[in-house]
Formats: sequence, structure tokens, C-alpha cells
Amino acid sequence: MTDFHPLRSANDRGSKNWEQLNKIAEKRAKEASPATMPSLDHATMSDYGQVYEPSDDTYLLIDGIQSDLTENQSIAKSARTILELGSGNGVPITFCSKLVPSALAIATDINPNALAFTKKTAMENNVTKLETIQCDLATPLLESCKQRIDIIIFNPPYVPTPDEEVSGNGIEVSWAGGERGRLVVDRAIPQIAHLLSENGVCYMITVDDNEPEEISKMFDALGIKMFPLVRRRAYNEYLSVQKLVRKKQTKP
Amino acid sequence: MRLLTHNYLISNVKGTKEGYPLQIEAEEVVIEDSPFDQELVTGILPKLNYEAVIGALHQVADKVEPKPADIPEKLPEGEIDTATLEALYHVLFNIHVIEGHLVCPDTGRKFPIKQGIPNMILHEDEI
Repeated sequence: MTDFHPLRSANDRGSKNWEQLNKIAEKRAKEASPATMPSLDHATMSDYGQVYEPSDDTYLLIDGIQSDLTENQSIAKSARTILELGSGNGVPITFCSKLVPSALAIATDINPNALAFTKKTAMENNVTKLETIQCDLATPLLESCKQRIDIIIFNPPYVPTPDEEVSGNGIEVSWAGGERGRLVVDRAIPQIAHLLSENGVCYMITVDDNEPEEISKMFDALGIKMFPLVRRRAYNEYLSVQKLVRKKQTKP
Repeated sequence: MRLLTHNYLISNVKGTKEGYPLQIEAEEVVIEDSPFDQELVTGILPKLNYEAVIGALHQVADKVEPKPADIPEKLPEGEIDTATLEALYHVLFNIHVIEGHLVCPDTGRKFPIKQGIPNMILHEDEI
């Protein structure tokens, strides 16, 4: 196996500054108290043939959300709209909703099985203010929700694969990410930048193969600051939760 | 699909000018009461297209049982009293369209709603 999946060095890409941010995120992940997984008692093994099963990326994502919302209580208190792009098993948006008492949660996915499963996960954990929309990313919401989403969650299909694997609406599209794992991520960048509210925050998973520093530059050009929040090694890859916030206009 | 969600959705089908608001053709509507959340409804109201809320309510009205408390035809300016907020909360959060269609006002394209989930996915030749 190791011949096919050599561990990519954590620091073979990116600037010194980015390396430094990664180290801080690794430290933060070590010190964070682990998040308690929402109950998935409704799931059967056959569900996981159709819907992405929670894995290391899911765990890191909810650890990151918990750590950040605990530290920034004002976001959790003031957020009124939560959006997850590609909600899959529904764990992240359910977890986040539990920490944000007065918000509507909107989950999108192109896979109808994922949305049905997301609904069950929410219900199982007493999250009632959840809406599900079958669509590509947030496309039908863009017009009306410009700068209105307070918390965006995005665990994209980030695994580098041949581009042609990124199609359909089944289980493959939950992970197949095309070249550098960027095919879906790159399409989501302008949408996230468009939707994020003034004081909003987005939590997004990356692996180093996605070249996150380059992603951060693309966001920067759209007025969004991105930096690694928590970071952890999983098998042969380094996973990060990137935190994104709108850059503040400095008054002249 | 709550009426609140309807307020956010737009048709992106090729040939659409506005694509908004979508017409609701409801076959099954249920009322699910939930605890009134004043902070949430107050936070969401200013950003709503209120005309579209009124339109949506009219379109599902014959399927809504019991009939909801009246909401104002125009969103009142300034502070809104609690009774009105409760009525608005009920309309936005407790009325769920379970089965039916959303219809694009420009092209007539029908987006199905099944088990409460609107399907807004476009075919390749519609993009």
C-alpha cells in the first residue's frame, strides 16, 4: 500500500508563512477538546453504499467547528442562517445547528439519498429547523442570499481523481475531486465568496494535494481571508479545516 | 419545504429572465408546529421578499388546515408586535410543502417537490 500511497510531506508545498499557519493549526487540533459525534442510530450499513460514511475528515470538521464557535460565541449567538454545500451524511450541519440555537439550517446535495439521510440525522438529534434542497452547490440560492449566510460548511469531494469520475449523483461524487481534487472546490469558491455575510464564517475541508495556499489566494482576490483552523494527519494525507471570513474594509 | 425556503429559491433554467418568485403547485401540505423563535424571525424578516411570502401563502392556502392567523399584506415598518411576529413565524416555519411542484414563472419549467425536498437540478441542455 505504501508504495501507492506515499505520505505526502506536510510542507512540500506552500510558503514559509503558510507552513507556519499549518503548524499553528496542528497545535490547535491537538489542544481542542474532541467534539461528540451526533447520533447516527438511524443508519444501517446499506445506507453507506449510497451516502458518505463519517470519516476522519468529518471528525476534524466538527472538532474545528466546535473549537471555533466555542472561542467565538458571538458568531454562534448571532448566526441566523447556516448552509452546508453537499451535506452528505448530515453530521456537520446537524452538529453545527446544535451549537447555534436561533438559525435556519439549509442543506444542499445533488444526491437525493444524501438529503434523505441528512434529514434523518437532524431529526435523530432533535434538530428541527433544517431545510434540504436538491441542487448543485448553492446555485438556486445565489440570487436571494447574497452576503446573507452566516455559517457555511463545505466538505468538498477533495480526492484527486481523473476528471471524468466527477459526474452523476451517486456515492462517487461525494469524494471524487478531479485534478488536484479541485474540480468542485474551484466552482464553489465564487459562490462562497458571494454568499458569506458581513460577519459570517465558512469552514472548509482541504487536503494538501488541493494546494490550499493557492485556494487562499483565489479567495483573497474575492475579498475573503482564508487560513488553516485545525489540521491533522489521516493515513497518508494531511487534512485541514480552513476558516474563511470576509476581509474588513479599512476606512481611509 | 418551508415557505421560507421558497422565498430563497430561484429558477436558473436557460431562457429565464427573473426566474422568481416560483409558483407553488402544492399537492400535499402539512403544518408542523414548532416553538416560536422571535430572534430568528426578527433576524430573517428584513431580508425577505415579502411580496413573495404573500404570494406563496395564497398559492398553498386551500391546502393549509387549520387556516393560519392573518399576516399583514405589507411588512409593517418599525417594530412589529409579538402577535404579528408569531403569525409570520408560523407561516414561514411551520407550513411545509411535502409534495407538488415549483414552476418557473418565465419558462414554465416544473421543479418537483418530493418528500419535502425540492429538486432544482437542471439537465445539461437547460444550463
